[in-house]
Amino acid sequence: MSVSRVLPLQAGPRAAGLVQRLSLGILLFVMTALLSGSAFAVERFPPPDFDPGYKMPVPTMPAPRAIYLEYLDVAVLLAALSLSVYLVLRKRSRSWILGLMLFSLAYFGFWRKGCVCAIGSIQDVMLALFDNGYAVPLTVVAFFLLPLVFTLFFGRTFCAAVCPIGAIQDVMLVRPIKVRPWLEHALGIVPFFYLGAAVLFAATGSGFIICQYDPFVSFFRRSGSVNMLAIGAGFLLVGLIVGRPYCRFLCPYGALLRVVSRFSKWNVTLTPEDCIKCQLCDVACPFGAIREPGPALPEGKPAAPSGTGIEEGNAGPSIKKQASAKAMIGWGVLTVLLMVSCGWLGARSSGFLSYENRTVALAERVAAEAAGKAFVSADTVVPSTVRLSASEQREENLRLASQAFRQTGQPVDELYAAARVARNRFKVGGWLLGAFVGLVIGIKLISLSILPDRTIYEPDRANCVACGRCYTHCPREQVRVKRMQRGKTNPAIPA
Amino acid sequence: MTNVIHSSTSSSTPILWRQSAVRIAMAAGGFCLAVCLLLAIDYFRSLRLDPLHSPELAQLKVALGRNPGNEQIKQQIRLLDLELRQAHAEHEALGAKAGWLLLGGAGVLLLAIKYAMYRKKLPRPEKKKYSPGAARRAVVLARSAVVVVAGAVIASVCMLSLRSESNLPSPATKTSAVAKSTNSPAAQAAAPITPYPTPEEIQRNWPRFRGPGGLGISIYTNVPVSWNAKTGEGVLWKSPVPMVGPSSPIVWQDRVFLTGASKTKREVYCYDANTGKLLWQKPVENVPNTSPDPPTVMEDSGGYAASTPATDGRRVYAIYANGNVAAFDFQGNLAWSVGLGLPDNNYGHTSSLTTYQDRLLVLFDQGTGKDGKSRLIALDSKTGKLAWQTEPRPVPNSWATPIVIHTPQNDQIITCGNPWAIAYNAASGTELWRAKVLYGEVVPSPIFAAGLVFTAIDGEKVSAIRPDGTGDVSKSHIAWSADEGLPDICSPLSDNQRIYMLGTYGLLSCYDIQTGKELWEKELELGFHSSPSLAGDRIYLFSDKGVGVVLQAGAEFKELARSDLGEDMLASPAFADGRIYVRGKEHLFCLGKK
Ligand code: SF4
Ligand code: SF4
Repeated sequence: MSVSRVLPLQAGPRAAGLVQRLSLGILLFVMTALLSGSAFAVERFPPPDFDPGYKMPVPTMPAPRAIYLEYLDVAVLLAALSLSVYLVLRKRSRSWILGLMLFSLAYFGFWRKGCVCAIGSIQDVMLALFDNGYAVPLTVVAFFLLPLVFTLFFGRTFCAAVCPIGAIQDVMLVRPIKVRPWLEHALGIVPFFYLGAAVLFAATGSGFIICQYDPFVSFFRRSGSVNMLAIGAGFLLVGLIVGRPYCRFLCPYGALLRVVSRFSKWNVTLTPEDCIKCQLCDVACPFGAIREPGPALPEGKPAAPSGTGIEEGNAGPSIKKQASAKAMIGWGVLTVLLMVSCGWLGARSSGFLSYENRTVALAERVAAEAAGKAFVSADTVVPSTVRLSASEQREENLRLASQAFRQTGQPVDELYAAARVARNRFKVGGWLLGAFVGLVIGIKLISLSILPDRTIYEPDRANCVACGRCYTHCPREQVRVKRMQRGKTNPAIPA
Repeated sequence: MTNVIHSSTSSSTPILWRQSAVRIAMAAGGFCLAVCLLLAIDYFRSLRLDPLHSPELAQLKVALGRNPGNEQIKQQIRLLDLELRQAHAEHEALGAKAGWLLLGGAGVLLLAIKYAMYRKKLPRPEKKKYSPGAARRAVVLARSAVVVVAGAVIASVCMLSLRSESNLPSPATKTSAVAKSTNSPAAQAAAPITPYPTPEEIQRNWPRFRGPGGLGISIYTNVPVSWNAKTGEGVLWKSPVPMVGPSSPIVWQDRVFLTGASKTKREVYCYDANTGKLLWQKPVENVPNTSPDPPTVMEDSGGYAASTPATDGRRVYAIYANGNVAAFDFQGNLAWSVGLGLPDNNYGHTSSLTTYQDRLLVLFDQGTGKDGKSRLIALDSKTGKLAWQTEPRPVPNSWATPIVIHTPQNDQIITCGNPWAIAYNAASGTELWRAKVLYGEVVPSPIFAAGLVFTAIDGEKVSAIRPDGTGDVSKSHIAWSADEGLPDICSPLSDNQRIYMLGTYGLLSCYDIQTGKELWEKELELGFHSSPSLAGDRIYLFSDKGVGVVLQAGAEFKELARSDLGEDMLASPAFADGRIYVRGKEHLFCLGKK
């Protein structure tokens, strides 16, 4: 028996075992990276505190980024989007898409350090809409609008190969597992909640939570707080086996793109004319974006899921219209009720949410001190060598802020009045946010009740991030490509 | 919840390539781990060298604050500061480099793993058939899941918002001031937010055995001189205490705390300082690591709760003879509890608790001194987790309570045992100096006065120790010592001019603090366990039978008053603004003018 014949027999399982061990190794490595996380953290120190003899260096301000460089960013974005459209819809090649993705990861991620970014731009645009004093740079508007416009025409080609956050997750994916559809549906509404909250905080000028809690930016910058590094590492870790967890279950811009993409003129399609239902695309898609066919049409007597108003045995092409008007009205009423009750809860919670607003937080602190509910202490005499926890630090910052405020001698009433204005905005915002949340839940419940009328396996317009993996594995697609190579058919423009 | 889609590795990739990929992955993985290890080591090193949190630097700054003109300290600070900053800059530079290395290594690792796991052909799944029943179930499941997730998000926001309340006054109420007085009772009663109190806060209260610093000295001079328990004159209130214990009361703002215990039960009590109402009474139970055996104690004196609790105004801390330590917040909620193990102690553990910044200090002396069981332990006051502990102390079981002193060089914890008085760095627990000045069963606690540490024990001597030495200072740093009129149980007291010592049989002696010359001695003809205290220029003594003796502090003996409480007592009193809190065998008394 020759050596070459022995090898294949043994190497297979051995390699697999090793690979598994290695996967474990990665986990370990990411964990350890976590521990050493704050090794990257940048801290700032007060200058040495001696007045005589110490010469304070003149602070230097880094020059703003040259304007042409900002335009360069927009140009690169535009080029990458166009190229992505070409690669996804015309070339239909996973390898090329991957190549572009790596470029975007390098450019928008590691080179531009995750800023400027389409996801965060939502907040700039919102703040600009509600605050006349905030001038939003044109580049940021471009980053907000261009991907949306491209999506309206070509599907989520931005997510495919341009977004660095999508890219870093996409390349991390090693061995995808399938998330059960019910879980996918349930977690799929979270990005909308996040979007709503981000808009509320941005519109009230309270903060940019998307940027604050961007889990990957600390990797792009290779510096950040231990907490954010830990959360980012957590996402990457989960991302080894769950395809793009941030994109699917958190990304607020992705939520917008999902909606827009439903109406896109073109999008990823496989071979709708001659799908042989081999389901290989379903196996290939790590993002659960392939939709299964519904009941066979026209034969068979499909029963509808309960509560949809579709009568049992009521078969035939009319299924689409079967959801009886009555049931639909019922769902509509439920949605309105949800909107009102969630809106009410939102308004009730607005006081709590408004603590994110600096004016409100400071006013509350000053008021609490005045009411004797918060401790006003003099500067600690013993210099603190204690590391405070995040919440203690927040309290301590507020204490210092109120101390500083009192030193300004400004009248307290003005502060209170400003806080009341901000709080009223939150009240309105709370109503709107709540109603939006109710609407999202209602629409999700309704959509779950609508029976699919497709007869083949096809990418879901909303959830498909156009990564191109299914192209490689669809046997009919391969046939089409071969045929095309032989020059027998024209390249098909998906319609 | 999920299932693995890809389960088999296709053999279509040439096997040799695949093997190489596996090897590369292993190498890259090893490399990444090594970089991570390096980062981790550097990270922990950097924690020590952090310019913002360096205890050494902080201590130097305190020292400079007390001694503003000292050029040497300034120079030391400059050097240390520079050193720390340089170390930090190095740490950051290393982090940046290692970040790139890690990124590169992770990239190679990922590539190799992906290559090794690459499958050109996917396994063909089984054909799915549409089934109405399954579809219906799926929809129901999905709908419920949506409701659960949405409900959870909404509920958590609502719950959080329920907990927050607004303090903003309504628009109608105009406040003209910038901020109201910070000394209003309400402001004082509010829960403080700094992790530990300032020295001023401590001075205003009576937070531990013998009050601020453990010196038995009150800043209040308006406390009563006499009272009459029979007529009730000068007694503001008197409340029964559920369980006995010789442990002393402590006071923080409007609360008085006590502990009590029996063989099987241990409790903490919180009284309203103004009315004597028992606000709460909490058992210390289900403490992890509690020994099933009861401790050996002096049962007739109630030795199960002999140690006085301590408070930092954030929480109150209690320790019992079985080694259980517990912390409660001011509302009586248990913050944490730990069992330090049954102490090997001939008469039961009596050393009281004290706090230093956000540390709770426990002097846990036990055993013979040769068995390495005695230790000084610092717990994180917020969590109860061990912050540090000293090397085994070379002393057997002892009964004195440590004090924390502030010297120009550092903050020190002074402990007493047989035969050593040992000082530790309060920040780290490292030993600073030790002096062989004690003997036998050490009960009296040390004090700090006029820049000197005083230790005393009957049968040996009273010693005045200069606290600026290192190593064994038994010969080099003793300012003076004397061997007459020594205490056996009660701790000494000083008014910064003289030192007063009280024996259990009532012999009170007075020494000049600078020269060590005995000024006078007086037989009081009473028995004492309670330690003497000073308020203004008056010395307060409480006898075992509850007789309060008030003396004029001075170079001559002068008795001002004697008042009978009518109840036996062992505990030392606690002083507050215009008041004295005294724990008798059965009652807690508040002495003061109506
Ligand atoms: S869904 Fe993913 S790829 Fe799309 S914008 Fe969000 S993060 Fe980027
Ligand atoms: S292109 Fe869309 S459907 Fe195809 S694998 Fe990627 S995400 Fe799934």
